Amino acid sequence: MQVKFKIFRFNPDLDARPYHQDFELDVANGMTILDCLIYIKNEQDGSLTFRRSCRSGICGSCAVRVNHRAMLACKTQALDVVIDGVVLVEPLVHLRPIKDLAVDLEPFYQTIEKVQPWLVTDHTNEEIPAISSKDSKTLNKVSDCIFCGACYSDCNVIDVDRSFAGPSAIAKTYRFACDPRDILGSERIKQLVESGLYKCPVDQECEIACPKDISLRRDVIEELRCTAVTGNFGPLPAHKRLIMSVLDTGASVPVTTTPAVDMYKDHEHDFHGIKELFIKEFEGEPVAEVVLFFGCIINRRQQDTAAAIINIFQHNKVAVHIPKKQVCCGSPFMRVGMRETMKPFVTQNFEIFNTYANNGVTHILTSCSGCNSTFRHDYPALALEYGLNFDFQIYDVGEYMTIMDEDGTLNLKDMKNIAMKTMYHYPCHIRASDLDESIYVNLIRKIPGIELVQVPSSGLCCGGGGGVRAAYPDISDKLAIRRMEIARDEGVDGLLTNCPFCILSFERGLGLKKEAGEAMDFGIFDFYKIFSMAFGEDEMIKESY
Amino acid sequence: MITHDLLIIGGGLAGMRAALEAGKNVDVAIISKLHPLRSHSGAAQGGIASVLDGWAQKIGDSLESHIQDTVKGSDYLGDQDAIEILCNEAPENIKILDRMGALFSRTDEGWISQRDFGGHSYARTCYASDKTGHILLQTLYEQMMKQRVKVYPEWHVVSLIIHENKCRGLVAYDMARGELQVIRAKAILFATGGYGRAYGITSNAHANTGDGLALAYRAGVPLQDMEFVQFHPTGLYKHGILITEGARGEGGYLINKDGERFMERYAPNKMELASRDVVSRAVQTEIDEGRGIDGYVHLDLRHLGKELIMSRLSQIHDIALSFSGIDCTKDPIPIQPTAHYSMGGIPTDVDGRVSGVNSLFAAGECACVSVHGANRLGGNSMLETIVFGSRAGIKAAEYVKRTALQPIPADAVPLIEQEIKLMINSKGKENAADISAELQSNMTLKCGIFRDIDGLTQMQQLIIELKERFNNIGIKDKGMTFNTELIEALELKNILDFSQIIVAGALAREESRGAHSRTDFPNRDDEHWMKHTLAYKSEQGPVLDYKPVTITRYNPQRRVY
Repeated sequence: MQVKFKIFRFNPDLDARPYHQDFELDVANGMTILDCLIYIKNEQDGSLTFRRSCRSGICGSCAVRVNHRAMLACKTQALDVVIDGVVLVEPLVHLRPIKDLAVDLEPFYQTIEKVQPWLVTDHTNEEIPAISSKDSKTLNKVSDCIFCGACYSDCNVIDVDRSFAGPSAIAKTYRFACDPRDILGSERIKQLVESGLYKCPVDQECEIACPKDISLRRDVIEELRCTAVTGNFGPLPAHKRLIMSVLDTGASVPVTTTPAVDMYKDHEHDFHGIKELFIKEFEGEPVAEVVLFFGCIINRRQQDTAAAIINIFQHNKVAVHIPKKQVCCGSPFMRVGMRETMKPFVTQNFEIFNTYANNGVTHILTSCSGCNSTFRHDYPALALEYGLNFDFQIYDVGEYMTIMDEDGTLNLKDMKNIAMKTMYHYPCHIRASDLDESIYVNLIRKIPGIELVQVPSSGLCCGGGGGVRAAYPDISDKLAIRRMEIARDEGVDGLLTNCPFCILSFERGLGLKKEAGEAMDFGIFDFYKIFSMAFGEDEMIKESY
Repeated sequence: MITHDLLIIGGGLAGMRAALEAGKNVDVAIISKLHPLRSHSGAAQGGIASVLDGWAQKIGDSLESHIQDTVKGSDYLGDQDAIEILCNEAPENIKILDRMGALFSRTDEGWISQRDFGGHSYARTCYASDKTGHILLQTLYEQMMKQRVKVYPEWHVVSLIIHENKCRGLVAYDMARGELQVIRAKAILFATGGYGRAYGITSNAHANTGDGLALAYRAGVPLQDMEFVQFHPTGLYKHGILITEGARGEGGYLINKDGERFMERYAPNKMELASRDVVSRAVQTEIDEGRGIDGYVHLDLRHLGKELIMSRLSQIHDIALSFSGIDCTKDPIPIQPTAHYSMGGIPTDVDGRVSGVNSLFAAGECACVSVHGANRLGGNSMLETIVFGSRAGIKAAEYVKRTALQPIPADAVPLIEQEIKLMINSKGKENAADISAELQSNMTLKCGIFRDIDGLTQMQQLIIELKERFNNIGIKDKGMTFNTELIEALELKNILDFSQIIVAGALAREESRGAHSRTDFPNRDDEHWMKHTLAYKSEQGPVLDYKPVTITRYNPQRRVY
């Protein structure tokens, strides 16, 4: 296949500033990006400069950005990354380009050196100490890091705060802090909390970049946060206030206006001992019967979103059960390392879900991406730990709509035209649930009138996750504003997303810009409300609301 | 002028191990064309062999057995005094690595786990999953940071400064700054790795161009046993990327197109775990005689189960998937032999001292002590880097302590600067990459696993022609900052030089021994050829000489597995 390589060029001996140069070549199946770069260097332009050595994904020399994302050139199949016949190859960012694709990695290496990256022991004994096979396996996985710098390049926090340790240095800290032979242990964690363990919004851009598939969010950052809590170094005061409030009110935000579950009084009744709303306002048999778990933000702050979700299901003849006693999923606890404190919440939600499951309603749908990823990833392990049954299935609302569409039960006829040019913002928690971006993009494309612009890029973080908004509002705001600017530069009217946290962050960002006298002409569109509009608003629900 | 007591060229396992030892007593620095973390030691997968107390007694293993296996594996070309040191000092070195923080895989009881490896009579290879080299490289680099050893990363050494038969320093190209720099030192230690890039199909990194060997050779040091190049039986088809011997150690099968475990016919006792040269010849024979599948055979791991593959061979799973699109839990991996390890190199004594020029030391793959003789056993190469890296570091430190710094001749830089300017400004029409490709593919074909007089003679002629063409190469990149095109040309010059020595040694050695297999001389000939080759530089090309093998207790025997 004929491919145009658009390559970043900069020779400090000749060029005042960098530019992009096009190279055409015939790419055969099986060729990696590195193969292509070598081919260009050998056959077309010997001065093209890049690092490479092992060409088998272990030396970490050839990390570059392909289509705005960092990856190893040698581990990337070229034909997988061609967009409209073009592949864009650029150097890593956050590091100074030396020449073409080679950057100065020194600042990155320094982040590693800062964490005292060597084993500190007091044992002078002759014998080799035993290490449990479990410890050895845990450390083994984190030790995969080859220090290629890809994560440093694509880290959102580094982009706005260079004092942040960065993913690689945090992984290196973990490797020693959790080594039973190391005597610094908790001292390392304490220092790490100071150098920004809680600055990470758990957006996982680093995981996407990591060529060794290290699970930086769950296996490293969240584990370290748990260790920090055990050692009393975490969470931060702002997190403690938030957690106290959750413990007080059962939700991540206090009640200020009537929560969605307390509306629609006509629909209240008792389902096998559960107080709930049961809503079925359409004629005939339901296509399906599901449980809706709104999540705290939608329930208590975004009630109109709740109404929109109900509309979506009424329109598609799905009867919904909404348990009134749904409590915080536990995500705020998990994200800051307080896994041990969340048990009562988990137990209560399990009791509700299992009651439904025992009575034939096994599909639990979440409208909050944070709840979804907690239910999907954390609840199975917690169920085992607490000895609870897990006999139900968790779905995200958008995911469920897609399944219905595949089954032919999603009613896409006579959808209203919604004229707008927008970009879908793919929430990190949705990604953490292993739900692909394409699920949502494909759904949105079914709405007539919407022009969707998607760009391959990093820097797509709202800044609202991982407890960052509570503890480091400044980082959070910068990330939100930067994300909106990336979209605005593509000429869209606004961002369309399905995560209540993202929406809150963006709205806050817009407010700040306005206060600063730099108001952005930019909208934040709620996925559910847009669908509800496209399906036609249901008058019954509106009145009731 | 930058000055150090001891300068180590190369930042892989041997170089860092030497630096850590020497650094305890003298001012040492590492200079390397790569950042140390990018060194090819990191690609070593399988493990590091050592008899360890406790487990050894349980399975009946002993130091004596490790020595015997290594002598036999070397096809009796290894120097037995050096081999005894290698094996005897292994256990202490494993302890040292553990104390430094190396994460060896553990048994359920928490002890260092040891696995089977080709040519070893007992399961004695310590490992860290299938990325042992990566883990050791990380560990040594951690210690380098702790000890604050000075490193000059991405400085490419272009020439040694030798005066009155004494090395006084070197000239290096600081790539990022685009400058030539002189570094003075009382001694220089080579740890520049292997020369696998002489071959088209190789497991070696692009960087493995044997630069240290070429530097030493040009300085008047002979090169030893260069014709002995190990071909690893399981390179990923077409790419040559290594699929660790650990895959067979864990129980993987080699299967031909008829579904036969063909090793039955070649090594009925050890099967897939026979010595590497034996298995490589078997694989190549199957392919050559039409029992391969389009130029490869299969390495089948499926019967090992997904859980074992994902826990002990995860990197192999990743490599097969990323580069060939094969999920090895579901399909067999296509493999072919790949140029892997360089047994030959700079001759040293057991303390890393280079014969010929004073103040030079060498350790690791670039050195020829010789512990591997005609064929290296798996698990012994990382062991060599650690054991002899340490010994060379200690001796080099002792040497510089009792040696005074020597003045540098004034013309050191201007001469090499002139040479490099000529190269960059040349109006030549030849493309270095074309010359490289032609050399490498022909080396695989004519000086690979099987060799004969016709192929070798043709190859000898071809190298002379390629050297002519090299004199006429052009370089498009005229700047001095990070000029990788210039570096590739300098590397090619090195490859051409030692390829000529490999071929000369192979042509002269009219026998088959270890990795050197002459179809026209299929038997080992101890009477005439149980000796080391030495190649000296001359105007007319390499001049060969020989020296005896050191024998302590083990007389040559027929080598069967």
